[in-house]
Amino acid sequence: MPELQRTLHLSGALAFGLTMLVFVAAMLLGKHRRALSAAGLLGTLASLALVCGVFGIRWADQDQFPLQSRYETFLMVLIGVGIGMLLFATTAGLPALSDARGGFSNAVCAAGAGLGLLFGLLALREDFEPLYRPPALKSIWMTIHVPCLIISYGFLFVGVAAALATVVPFLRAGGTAAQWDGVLHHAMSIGFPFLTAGLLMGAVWGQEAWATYWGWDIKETWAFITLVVFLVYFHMRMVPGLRGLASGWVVVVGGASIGLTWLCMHLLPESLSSLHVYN
Amino acid sequence: MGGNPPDPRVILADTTGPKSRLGAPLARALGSSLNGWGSGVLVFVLLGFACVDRLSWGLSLLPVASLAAFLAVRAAAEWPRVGFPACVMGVASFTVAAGLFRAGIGWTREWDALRNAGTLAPGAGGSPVLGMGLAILLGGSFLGVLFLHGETIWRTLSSIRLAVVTLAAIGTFSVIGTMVVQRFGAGALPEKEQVFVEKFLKGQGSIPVSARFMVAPPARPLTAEEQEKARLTEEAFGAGKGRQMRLGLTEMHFKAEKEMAIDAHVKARREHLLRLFERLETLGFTNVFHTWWFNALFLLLFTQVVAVLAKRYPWGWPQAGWVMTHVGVLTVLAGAVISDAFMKDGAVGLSPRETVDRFDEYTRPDPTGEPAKSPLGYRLKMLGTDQSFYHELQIGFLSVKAGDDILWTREQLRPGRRFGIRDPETRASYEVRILESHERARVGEVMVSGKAVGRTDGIPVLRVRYFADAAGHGGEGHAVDEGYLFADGFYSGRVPAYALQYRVAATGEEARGLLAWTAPPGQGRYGSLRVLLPEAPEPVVLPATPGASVSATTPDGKAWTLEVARYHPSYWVGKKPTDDPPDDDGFPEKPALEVEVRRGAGADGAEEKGRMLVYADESLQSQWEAMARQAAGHAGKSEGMHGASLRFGGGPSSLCSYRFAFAPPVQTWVVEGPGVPRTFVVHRPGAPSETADFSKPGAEMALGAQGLSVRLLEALPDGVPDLRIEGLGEESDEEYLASCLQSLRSGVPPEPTTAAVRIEVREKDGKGERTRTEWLVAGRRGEFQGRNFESSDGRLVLALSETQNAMMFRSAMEVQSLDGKAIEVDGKPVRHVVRVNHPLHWGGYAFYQNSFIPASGDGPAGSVFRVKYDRGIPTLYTGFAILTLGVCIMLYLNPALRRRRGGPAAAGSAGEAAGA
Repeated sequence: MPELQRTLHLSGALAFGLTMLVFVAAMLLGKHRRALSAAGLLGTLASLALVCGVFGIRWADQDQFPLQSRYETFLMVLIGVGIGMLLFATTAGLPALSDARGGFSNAVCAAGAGLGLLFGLLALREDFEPLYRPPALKSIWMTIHVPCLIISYGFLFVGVAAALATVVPFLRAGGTAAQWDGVLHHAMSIGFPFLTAGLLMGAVWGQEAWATYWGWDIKETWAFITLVVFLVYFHMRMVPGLRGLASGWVVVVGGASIGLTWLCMHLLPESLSSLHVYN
Repeated sequence: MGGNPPDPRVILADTTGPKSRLGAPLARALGSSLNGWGSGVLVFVLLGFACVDRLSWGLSLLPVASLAAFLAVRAAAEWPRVGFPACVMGVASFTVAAGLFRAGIGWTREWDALRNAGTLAPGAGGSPVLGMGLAILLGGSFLGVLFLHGETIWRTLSSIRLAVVTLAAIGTFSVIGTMVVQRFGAGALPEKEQVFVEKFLKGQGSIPVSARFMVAPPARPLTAEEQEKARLTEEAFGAGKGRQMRLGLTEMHFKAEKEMAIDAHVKARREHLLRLFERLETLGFTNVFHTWWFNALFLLLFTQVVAVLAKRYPWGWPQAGWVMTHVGVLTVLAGAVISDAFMKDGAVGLSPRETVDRFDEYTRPDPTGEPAKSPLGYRLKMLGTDQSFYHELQIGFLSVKAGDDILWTREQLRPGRRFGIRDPETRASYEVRILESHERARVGEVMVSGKAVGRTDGIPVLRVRYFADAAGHGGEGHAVDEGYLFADGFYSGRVPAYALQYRVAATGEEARGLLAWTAPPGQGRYGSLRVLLPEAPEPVVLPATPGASVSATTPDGKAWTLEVARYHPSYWVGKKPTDDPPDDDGFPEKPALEVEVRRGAGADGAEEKGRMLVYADESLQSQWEAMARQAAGHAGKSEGMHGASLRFGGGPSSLCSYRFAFAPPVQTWVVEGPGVPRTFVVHRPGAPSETADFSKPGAEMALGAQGLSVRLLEALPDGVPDLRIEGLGEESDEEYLASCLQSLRSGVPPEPTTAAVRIEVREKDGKGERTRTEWLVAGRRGEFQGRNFESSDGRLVLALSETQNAMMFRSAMEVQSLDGKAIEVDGKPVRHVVRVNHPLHWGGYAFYQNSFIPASGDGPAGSVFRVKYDRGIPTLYTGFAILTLGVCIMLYLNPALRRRRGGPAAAGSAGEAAGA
């Protein structure tokens, strides 16, 4: 089973890599954009299926929901990113647009697929062996709280990419910041409730397991900080003059915050005593 | 509301309100008293917390005092215009708020703890009463002014810009709280100052090192030995295991190097880090989340949300999501305050059978700094507690070296898992498949006919069942025991081995001899006793008959006399032995002899004497003798053992060693041999032997003692042991409770279980191919013998072993009233199994399984529970629900509704302000 997981993992990374190239091509070649972006979407679907395959096999192999180690959370983030990309592309139909917005949408999708390629590098440090579930994680909340937060990261990734388009003139490529702000708000609106719900569910689970609904544990605090950053975004855009550029930057900061919450937490000194660290 | 947001100044100035539904006067009154609440809360925040934290006293008092003075003067001038009802409401709300904040909010608790631990000067923070009084006074004076200038303050409070600033401030300080090592991190309890300083140095010092390691990880080559180990692992157990080993070793190197780098860095920059510590302490950054100013930000947030809700009142249906979200925020914050105000937090530890009616409350330390013992109002009894670990399969080649260890690996127990193994030296290959695995299994050993399972090493064994109160042959008495009777004298059940013995003769002559047996002449009534005197070359033998005695001389010339004083069929330390004559037909449970030892000094005639108790059970006896020798050694001379056995071991008796070969006076045997069918025979001293046929299963004979009779169930001439393993699923809480209650009542611990796994191994080597299916059982000291798999050539061993990964901790608890009676709900006593994620809730307290203390020399097993009393949880959870629902309505429902209502045009404005 570990070998099968590894094979699927590498295939998934390869699929993401190819998809990325297709999206880059779609971004650069305005003439064939429609067909290329459709091909990119298919590629995204295929990569998503492979990642889901790794997830499913890992689930079957361990006989428990795989969301414990960093590798497993990466899997789920990719699934979230993949779903976010698909929704983003299909609801507004942006990647197929022949103007600059289409160009950047394809860039966003390429970035998402690039993340999947990065995921392939993880194979170098992962042994795919099953894990033991510690008693604290034996709860129904494991399958609700963690996926909720991680899926929110996936959706918010799309938002962050759109925010980059809002603030970086080069990426904007002809569209206006205000146009991109609309896209940004759309993406943020999907992801933010998941973030809120995930954070609050964590508090409820914490009360059941550790007797504290909020202990300013480092992981909790960073999830809260991420929430606060996006709250600031939502409030800022109601102030005339702050919509667009300023609120876009806030979302970029939020993206960095997500990255910190998810990946770099273990670098910070308080993580040594964090209740969230299991292995 | 689409388009530009309306000018707030216009709305506020017009107090009648364009959408007023409840009437203008009410709207006005609501508006004005909210002014008072908001401002009063603000003032109290600034002053009240200043009283708690000395560091900020000076900083906050001066500017606030001057502002308050100015406003007080203004208020005095405007007094006639202030409305009386609003003032009353305002002052009342200030008082309530002040009471809540001072009544034990968590932000003061940690500082109290620090004071008690001696790390803060006592009295730091000034008088809380003074602070409260000032707050009420100044807050009240704000009221008057606000009716004049309320609009400005109101407008500012409800402004979005201020909201953004407050949120950004909260976010920034939270970031600081994660970058700097915190004093009360993750709900921990206060530590000694020096411990915290060291923790700080190590933590802060590790940041640059961690960053460096992440950006430019140093090369972590494996040593040649480790490479070889990984290579062998890969060769023997597959690429996956090899990779796992390489990654694991690399990770180990990395961690070790990082630790060393951190230590070196901290050592080199110690002075700098200490100065940093002091600076951060002054700013309060080492305890950000509990400073008054950080919590004041939340209060400011609360006030702002109240302000903006009031500003937009009355609320229309399109604003439902927005209102819900903001009311949700208020509810959550209120819940947090209520929770902290009434919080009781502590711990309690229990062992099975213990009850407790109070707990150690860490939130209320007594003057010495120790947690106070707070009463619960009821009793909590622990019925049982245990812990279990996951098991794993360990696979190893015992004779192959890999680095500094043997070549081995581990595999998780998953049914259906299969993996291949190859012997690196002999090239034999094995394919292992896990057929079934049970973390919990009942393991029993049964004897089966060797012929049936293809084994030739069987021995004769009888399966018998003992009955009590049998009404004669065939009467169905009450079965008391069942077990296997072996020809070498071993019986696997509980009835003592002396009750019945199984003798298998090799020849017909021997068999007949056994049937006509009489006790040998030298043997006493109860067997024989051997005593080894100090420095004597040979033991002295005497018959184990009360009254028998023998004399001997030791090489040092002393004359010894040994006499069998008394025989005890069942000697229990601490129990007075009965004076009745022993029932020779009965089953002696712990046969023992009292031996009197006298030693003469020779010429001067002085005689020492002592008594010794000699058990027939050799292990008991050696323990007993060791105690006696130890007691003698400590005293310099034999003083005998303490306690109930004071009369034994004294004098010269502790210098000898004894062996009591017990043989009951009435010998009951089952004899069989060539030409002699299985016969039940009873030998009584001085009477002819009684025999009866015992060859057919179902034959039953009375044993004459204690009303017992024995029935033959099965006779196996070539019995071999076989495992009967019954996999049990995970024990449900009800089952665990029942088994705890059962063992409490009977005093017998619950039936032990262990992990068992059935594997199929296909071996392929030079000699051919063979497949075997076997059970592996995890050994447990004192309870189970482990069962491993060994390959045909003995090189490969598969064993089931316990890991360090805990699977579960649990405790069975019962709630009792203070007088010890079980409390009943709906006729059933309140009992609950506490596990992680399954706390016990009763009487406002919640008990969480925190940790487990395994049984050791110091005492039985126990569990520690975290005890929490939290009144704010319902409010908090309600707030969570309202908040989440509100956010979903605002961001999901409203745009959808807008699109439906507005058509394609509305879809284009999807980027609108939410819920406006």
